[in-house]
Amino acid sequence: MKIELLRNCSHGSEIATYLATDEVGGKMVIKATTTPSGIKNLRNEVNGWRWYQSQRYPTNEPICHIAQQRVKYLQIQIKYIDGRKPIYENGLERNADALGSIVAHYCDIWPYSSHASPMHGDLSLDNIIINPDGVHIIDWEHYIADAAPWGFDILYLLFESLYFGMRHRNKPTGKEIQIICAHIDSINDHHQLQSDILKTPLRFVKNFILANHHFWGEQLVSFQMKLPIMAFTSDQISRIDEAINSGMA
Amino acid sequence: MALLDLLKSYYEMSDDGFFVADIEGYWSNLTKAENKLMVESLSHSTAREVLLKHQPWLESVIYSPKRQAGLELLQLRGDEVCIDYGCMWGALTIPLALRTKFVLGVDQTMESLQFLKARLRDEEVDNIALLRNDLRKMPIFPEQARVDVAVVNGVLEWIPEVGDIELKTYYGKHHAKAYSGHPEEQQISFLHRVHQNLNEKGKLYLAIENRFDFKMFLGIKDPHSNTLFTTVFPRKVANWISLAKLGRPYINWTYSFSGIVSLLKKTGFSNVELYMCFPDYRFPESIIPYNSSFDNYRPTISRRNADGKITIKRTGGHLAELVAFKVLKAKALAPSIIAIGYK
Repeated sequence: MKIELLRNCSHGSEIATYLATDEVGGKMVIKATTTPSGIKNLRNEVNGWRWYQSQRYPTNEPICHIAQQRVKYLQIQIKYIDGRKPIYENGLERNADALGSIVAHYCDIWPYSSHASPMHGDLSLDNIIINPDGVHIIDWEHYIADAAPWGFDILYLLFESLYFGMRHRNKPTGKEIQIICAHIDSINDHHQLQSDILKTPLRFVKNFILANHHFWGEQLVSFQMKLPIMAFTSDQISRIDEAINSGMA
Repeated sequence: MALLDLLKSYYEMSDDGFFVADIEGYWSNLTKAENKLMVESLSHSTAREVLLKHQPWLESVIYSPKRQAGLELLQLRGDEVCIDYGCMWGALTIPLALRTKFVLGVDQTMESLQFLKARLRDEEVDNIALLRNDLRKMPIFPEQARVDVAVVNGVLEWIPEVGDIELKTYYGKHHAKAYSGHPEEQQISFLHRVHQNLNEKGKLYLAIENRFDFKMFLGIKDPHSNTLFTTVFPRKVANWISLAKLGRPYINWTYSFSGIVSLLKKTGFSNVELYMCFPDYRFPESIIPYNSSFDNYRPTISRRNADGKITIKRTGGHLAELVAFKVLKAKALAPSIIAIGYK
């Protein structure tokens, strides 16, 4: 089996990610760690896949499983999903088609709860694979069952995409606001979002992260850009939320 | 365990709790005075606290989880007995022990072993034994004590050096420096012992800089001798440069990918898997099998420095890396090599 190191403790994580290819070309992803926070995140990943598989895939054969486990070492293996990743740096406008599919996928599979829903915790375009079978969400290291209000992850994805589109500007374009409004409308049509989310969606997402910092642990401390939307300033958030409210009115 | 019984019969046990051969020798990034200060503090503080107080720059060198990424290439099962040759402060010894049954860490520097012993205490790792010995003088074990895995990480190029080396005061300076004969012969002799001490299904993990690392052509000095172009020139020319700069022949031999295969075959390994490491084998961001494509490769030299500013030098490095590997796919110029040798 050939092993290739794809990522090594990137973005403040303490996990190494590998692509393993066997003699006949079969592929799988391997993740390994020896630190407490890394082990916690890999256990989250196994639980996240278990939940996602129950919602998304018909097979009973586990997509993700623990391959080796010792007191201070954990290795998990995940089935390789072939396909293309949207380029997150392209922002909202140039990822419009992909975003439409992802919003629909979220609304289809995420069970609605008026209290708390499962949380992916890092739903970025970089953690999406699209192939002829549809949208696949990967990288469940921050999964927590029943942690966030319904809609949190998908709104996070929209605002992170906005962030990357706006990287060299201070404010969003009218087109970007239109796209966000259309997606929020469609999400809200599926299940009614909480009123405080609808009123100030970006502020709500950022405040939720701030109030629940511990969900992401040390990683958010050691690498603040782990969740890029945290870089939006209060002024930017107010202006974006106002524009969204005007756009939706 | 046969290996542990053998160590007990071969060696004395030091007051610090590790086996000691009758040798002298010192090789450390720190001076003896710096090491002494650290070791004196280990009885009343954790090893990490001592390090952060006295040598904070070494914290990531020793503790970063990035260091251990290459160990997965060994595809360990968990029941292996291993030897880490030149274990120093345990950057790979402890991660290896967390994945396997037992590890023997061997190093010539008493102070490094004392620090590592304190780490084992602090981190509650109980499946490591330590041996102070000259790597060139390791005995050939009887068959029942041979091991499953040998790790030679950043060690082979230093094998021809002898005597005490305080790297800070030694590096690139022109004063008398002892060496132990023809570099390749010394390295082969060492690797032959490593090979002999592996059982019949044993594996070697060897990590070393590539002699033809693309940066060596761009005016970056050889990290071992602090001389220019000594790795890339023919050995004879490297000797002339080293004689002029250091007053002795060039001895810190590194190898190309094909050179490593040839060296390991000479020492008895039947099969060798090669991997390219970027930006180096110590803190790898990317490790790619030598016979694979660069499909998942991304340049590892950032255009930004530690302060987050884009610099001309770093941009040049980034572009050179991009052209060498993404465009030209020049595998032979990869910065570092990991070789898995099968007995």
